Amino acid sequence: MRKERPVHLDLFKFRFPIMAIVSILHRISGVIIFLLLPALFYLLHQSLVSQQQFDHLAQCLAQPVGKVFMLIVILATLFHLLAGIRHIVMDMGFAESKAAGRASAWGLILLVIILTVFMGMRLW
Amino acid sequence: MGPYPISNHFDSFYGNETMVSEVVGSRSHRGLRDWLAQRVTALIIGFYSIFVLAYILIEHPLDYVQWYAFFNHPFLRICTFLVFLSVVWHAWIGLWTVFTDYIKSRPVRMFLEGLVLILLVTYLGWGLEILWAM
Repeated sequence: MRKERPVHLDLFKFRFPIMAIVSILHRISGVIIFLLLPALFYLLHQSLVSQQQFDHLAQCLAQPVGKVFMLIVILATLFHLLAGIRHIVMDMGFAESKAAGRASAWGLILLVIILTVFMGMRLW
Repeated sequence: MGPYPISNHFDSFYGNETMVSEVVGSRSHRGLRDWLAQRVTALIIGFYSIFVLAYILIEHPLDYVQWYAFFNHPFLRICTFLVFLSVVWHAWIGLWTVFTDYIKSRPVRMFLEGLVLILLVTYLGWGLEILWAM
């Protein structure tokens, strides 16, 4: 490596392409899902343990806080799932060009917003 | 650290760190295995999630009897356990990658890796309990 190479890694001066933003959001949504795992295991456990617990959970999740929690789960899961599908499609050699990558990244964001709004409307 | 190894999956956790300067690429092929495992587990989790989500949306509103019967079915119980295994393996590969990329300090990284492993194994036991104690 040449010694006199330019060193300019001021991250605030970079303009990240949408593909990079989708990529980092894929990671962030994955970490969020990992952090939500104990809550999700708890919910599944309680929902199966008895009729009373099931009804109690249904009541809790019908509260505004419960609905916001579910929407966060849905948003993170949808993003991670759809970004994963996009990734696998590209692994298989489809839509690998810069233009296609940009288009599929925007399409992914649009689809996640539409589906989250749809799920939000079903919740409220 | 010299040239990038073909697989960057060298880590103190696997006792391979000293090999980096000697070997370009991985003798254990752990990189390839993780790459494949990440995708296979992703497909398992993805199909299962879409299936369960479709069930919930179609059968809505669900009552306890339906919900219990759904998970009590032997086939679904096996599938659910397979998904728990996949989630644990997938989360491990993902978090290992994130830690390796962003955590520079080796002791901190090892601590976080250990913590995540303990948590994931605990969740697996919890999942077993949920499915076979119902």
